[in-house]
Amino acid sequence: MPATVRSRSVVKMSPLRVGVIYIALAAAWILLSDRALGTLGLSADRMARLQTLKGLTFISASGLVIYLLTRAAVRQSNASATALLESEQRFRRMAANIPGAIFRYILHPDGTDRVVYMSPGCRGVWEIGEDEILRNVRVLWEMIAPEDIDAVRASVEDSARALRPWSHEYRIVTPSGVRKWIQGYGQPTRGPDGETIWDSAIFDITERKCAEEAARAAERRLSHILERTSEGFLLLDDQLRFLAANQSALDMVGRSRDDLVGRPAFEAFPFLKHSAWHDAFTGAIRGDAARTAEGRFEPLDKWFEAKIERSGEGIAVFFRDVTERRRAEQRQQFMMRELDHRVKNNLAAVLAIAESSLREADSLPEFEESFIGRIRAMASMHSLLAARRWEGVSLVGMIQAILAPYAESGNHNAVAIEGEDITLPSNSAPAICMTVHELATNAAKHGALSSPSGRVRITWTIDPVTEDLRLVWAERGGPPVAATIEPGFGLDLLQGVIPYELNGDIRLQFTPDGLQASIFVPGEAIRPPTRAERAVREEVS
Amino acid sequence: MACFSIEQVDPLRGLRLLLVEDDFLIAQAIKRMLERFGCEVIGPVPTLDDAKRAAEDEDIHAGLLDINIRGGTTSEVARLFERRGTPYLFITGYTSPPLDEADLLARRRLLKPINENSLRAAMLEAFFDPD
Repeated sequence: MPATVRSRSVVKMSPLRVGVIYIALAAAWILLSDRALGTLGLSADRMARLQTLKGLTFISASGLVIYLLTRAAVRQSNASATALLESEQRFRRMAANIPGAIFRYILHPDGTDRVVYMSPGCRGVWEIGEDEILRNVRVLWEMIAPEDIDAVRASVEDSARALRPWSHEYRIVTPSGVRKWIQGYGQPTRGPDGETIWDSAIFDITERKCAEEAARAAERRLSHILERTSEGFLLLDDQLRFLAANQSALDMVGRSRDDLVGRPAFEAFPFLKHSAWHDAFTGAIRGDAARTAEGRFEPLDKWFEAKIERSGEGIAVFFRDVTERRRAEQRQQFMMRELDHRVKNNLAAVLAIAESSLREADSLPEFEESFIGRIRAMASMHSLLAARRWEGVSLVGMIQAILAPYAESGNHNAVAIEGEDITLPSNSAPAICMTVHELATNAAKHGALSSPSGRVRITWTIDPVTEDLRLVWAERGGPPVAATIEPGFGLDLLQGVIPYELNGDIRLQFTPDGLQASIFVPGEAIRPPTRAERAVREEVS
Repeated sequence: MACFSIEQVDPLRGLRLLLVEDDFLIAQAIKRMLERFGCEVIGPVPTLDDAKRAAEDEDIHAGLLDINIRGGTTSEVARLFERRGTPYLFITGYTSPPLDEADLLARRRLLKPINENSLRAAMLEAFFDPD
């Protein structure tokens, strides 16, 4: 290695300096040696021999110097040639190993173009050799898929015009018929004659494109499913902004996609902030386990059941409308409480009837008759109420049911019922039921229903404006009646229950034909409860 | 038998009592029981308006209140009694109390159906037991 170092240091001097130094040294040697020889005072003959010897020495030294210099120069030249070769080989190896092709492409101002270098990788991309491409670049243009050709041309022209780096993805069809996606990059420079020169690289990106396309197709399928499902789907980011929503979700919350996507949830729906949903959402962001929550969606008065789970940085919410189920549950709860209430009230009423009937009966059969009659009347009314889900009872149906035992006893024409049928609300029915029953038992005991020729006519009208009910119970053809009903529980009930429970009125008259009872019930006790009233009732119970 | 029995004085005797109950049969039955106890019955009244009007009478010693009556609930009457220090007792068919009456109901409540013994015991406890 020291030799190399010295030879390099020699060659590093310029040839001119080497020459000048050589001439100066040679001239000094000739002059000084001649002068030195002159001072020796030698004979001419010896002098001539010495001169010859000096000349030979000089030539030998010069020859040695020239040899050394030439050898160093040749060595250096060899070394750089080797280095160049190595570098060239390295480049070719790299070019061949790169997964794709690298090439130099030149576009002349007149529109002609050519490729001046092409790496062997071209075979892998275009399935043809370098030579063919170097001969004529048209083969490459012809492989470009027809649908992409214009865009490729435009990208190349644009890069040439602005000397902007070229980067483009496009499709080709290789000679064997394979469709490929390739991506090209190139750095343009301007040549001396106005031509544009790109040092470029092309890569086969078919696999990546296929994967992308497959992922897109999968996403399309997924979003199609998400769109079709009846469940609502919402995606929110870590700031609880809406990222995506399917149609069902939009329908359920009553908003458009534009109205939601991008907006913070608590801004789009301010009520959320103070609802149970707030905790559910923030809990899911914190990474709590997936949770199922059920809550009211205030703006539309709906109930949603939602599954909330972390998804990426944000959360995914799957939800469905459970309003109907909630309402049914509430109705059921209401009904159960109402039933509990009614049963207890009815038991209390039965106790009261039993106690009163017992107090007045002179004998057990008499008690049995009055007690069971009253209970049966109540029971038939309850059956009718239950058949209509406690929402009311038909007036005609109820009167028929109460009078059925008397009609059954053989006298089918004994009772006439005439009036427009109406539905009595469930809380007004018992008073009218008991009143009609007391009239019927009284008639059966002392009045028109106690003799075969007796008749009872029940007629009523409804005031078209106030909806007041005016009902008349008129007996005729019975035995001559006393001018009064015997006082007692029956009479108390008859006279008391309608004024007390319905704020109505009853008048009993004893005409020569028989008893006539005029009953008045105000419209407010007849009208079905309005929605608002019903809501209040449900609220308080 | 105690020699100096003074407990013969029935505390319920002479009690002026407001009875609010919208069911005629039940109201009459309770009224009869109360009369047998020797109480003076104000009412019975079936509606909230009647109940409020009757409750204005400052000489009322105590109240028996059905909760759900025509026109609303008797919680308003109960609060009036509460303010005035008049003892009262709810009589109700509801096992689980309606919503906003829960706090009042927690105090005194007698479940229907009631009989003379249970009514008497509940009244003695509600009206004469300080707590």
